[in-house]
Amino acid sequence: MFEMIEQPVVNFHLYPSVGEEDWRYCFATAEVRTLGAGMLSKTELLNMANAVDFADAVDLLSSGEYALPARADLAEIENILLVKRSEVRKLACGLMDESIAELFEARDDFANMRLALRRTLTDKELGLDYSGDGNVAAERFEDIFAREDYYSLPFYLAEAVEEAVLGYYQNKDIRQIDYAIDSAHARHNIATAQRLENHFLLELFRMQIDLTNIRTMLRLKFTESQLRDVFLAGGYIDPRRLKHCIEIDYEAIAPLFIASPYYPAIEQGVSYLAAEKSFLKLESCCWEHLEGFLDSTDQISAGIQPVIAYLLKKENEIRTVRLILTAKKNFLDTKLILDRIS
Amino acid sequence: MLANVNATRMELLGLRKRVVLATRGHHLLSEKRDEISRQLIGIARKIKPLRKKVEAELLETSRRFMMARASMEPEDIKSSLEIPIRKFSLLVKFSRIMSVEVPELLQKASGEIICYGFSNTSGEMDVALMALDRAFESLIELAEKEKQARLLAVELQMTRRRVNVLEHVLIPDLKSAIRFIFDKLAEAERDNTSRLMKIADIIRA
Amino acid sequence: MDYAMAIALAGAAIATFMAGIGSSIGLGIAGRAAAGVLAEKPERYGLMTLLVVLPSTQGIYGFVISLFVMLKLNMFGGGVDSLSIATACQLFAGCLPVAVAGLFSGIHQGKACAGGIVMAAKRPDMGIKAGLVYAALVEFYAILGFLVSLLIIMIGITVG
Repeated sequence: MFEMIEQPVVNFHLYPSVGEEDWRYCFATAEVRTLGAGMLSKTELLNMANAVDFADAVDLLSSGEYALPARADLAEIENILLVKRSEVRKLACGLMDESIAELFEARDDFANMRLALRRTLTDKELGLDYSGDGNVAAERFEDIFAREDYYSLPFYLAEAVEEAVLGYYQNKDIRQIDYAIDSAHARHNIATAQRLENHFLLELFRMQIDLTNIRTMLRLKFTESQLRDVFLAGGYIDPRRLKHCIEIDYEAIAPLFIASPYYPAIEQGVSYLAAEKSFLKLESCCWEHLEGFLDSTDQISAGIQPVIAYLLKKENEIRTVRLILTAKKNFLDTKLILDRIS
Repeated sequence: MLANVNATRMELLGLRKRVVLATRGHHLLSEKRDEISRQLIGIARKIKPLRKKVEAELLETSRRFMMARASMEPEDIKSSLEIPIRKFSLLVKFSRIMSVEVPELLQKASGEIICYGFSNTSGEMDVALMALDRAFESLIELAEKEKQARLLAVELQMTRRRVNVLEHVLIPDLKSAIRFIFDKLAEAERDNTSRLMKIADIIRA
Repeated sequence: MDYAMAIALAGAAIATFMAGIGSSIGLGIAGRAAAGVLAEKPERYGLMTLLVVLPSTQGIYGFVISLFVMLKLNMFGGGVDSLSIATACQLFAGCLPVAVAGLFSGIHQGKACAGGIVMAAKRPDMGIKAGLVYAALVEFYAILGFLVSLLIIMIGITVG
């Protein structure tokens, strides 16, 4: 069973320290720094967002690694970007310790498990159309679910699956699967980081949990949902405070977080949400906050931190490219794109 | 019509009755036509803003979906949207407007539209799904109204054609037939009279 | 007499191996970092090599000091007649500066070089300017250790 996670206390101003250097990662750091230098800059992304039309945006990409066929349709582009993402993940995970790489590969396992459980519990065909980047191959799902032999899955998944199944049968609510798996995922991340005594990972996961919780809180508030116990444990922000925030006005939310590192993100995101009824700004602010932390790994010249930062930033870059191209293809307003990416 | 008319008094009486009937029918039908077009205009008036609203909502929804889809990982999209929990049932009832059977759609939805967890999904998707949910209600209403309008329009067209046929074909035809028979009978009368006069002359002579 | 010789030779050995350890760890770090950059950008080979070879000097200093100790002991000419324990200890002490300075400066110079290499991955123009200069600053203290060792052994001590 996962150990109980105590409530951590914020003892830094904006970002926690990134931790010690680890000279075993000399090669890896140098490689990801070199790769990082080739990533699309903010200006390039803005230029793409401001491009006149889709062809123009593709044109701007043509000099870099994302050379796309000019007449590609969206499905093709998505596939190309997916392949790209797999490559990046493989490369980055190859540079990490196995125990840490497993953490990042596990993200896909959890996503796959969500889908597989939903299908099994609602008596649908299991299928084989799962993400291939995880640790467990999709071919094994059928066998595992047929025999309910969850313990042949990796330990962390087995726990999550059991909880999800239990949650589902409590009131036959399919969302319980997601909640259970999400919280198991978060707990697994924190517990593993603690076990590995990796300060950076621990801080990173806590930050991710906090940002997810903030988004969840505002989403619950915006959709006037009655759900309350869907917050993830292990972040810096106490879930009780978040529950309280759902009840109060939009203007009153940000000041509650004035002492927390998330104040700028919350403030901008909430005012955009109240004005435009959209989460675009909140999502981009949350990412920006995380990115700031990832960028601070530049302070050290060797270690696992830059590798993780590269992986996450590259994934986001791929997402952003997909976002811009999708938006351009569908003739969405340039302002929307700009709101989302900057 | 004219070709095979029996120029008899019996026929004349029959035709006169038919003219009266046709005129009354024409009167009734044209009243029905006016009423249907009044109803139709009423429905059409409601359709227009409804349609505009639905279109705007759907556009908004698709825009947000696009953003949500682009900013989420494909496997997360699949796992969050594949199995919805919102149940939707539609009841079709028939009612009558001006003796036209029109459907009335009663909808009942249950369960949450947001059927996924919060960790790996975008808030835009919530907004999109909620807008879709709202748009769906209006969409059903729009479907109901449009079907009603279509059925009424068909009925209106039919009625109008009937009115026209009565007004421009049947009644004039009948009238001309009556005149024809009347003329024919008057002719026969005169013929008879003149023949009788002739016979009287012959007898007198 | 034999103990004295052993102490003096231990000093020579320490000078070589500790400075050598420093150099090789430093070279290892810098080399791995350079390999990481070269894996993606092979055209940077020249600059990388320059930064990688910097930490190798400590080992050479240690080796040179060891040679001087051996010369002092006249090992190549049949050895000295009388070596007191005190002189041997002096020789041993003379070796320590280069050994210890070499060990630590080697490792840290390696890290500084790795830092420079990693930075040069992003900004090649700064690689020479900053990376090389900062790494060379560490070299300065290795040279100090080397000089002090040299002076102690050549001038401070008379054998026999």
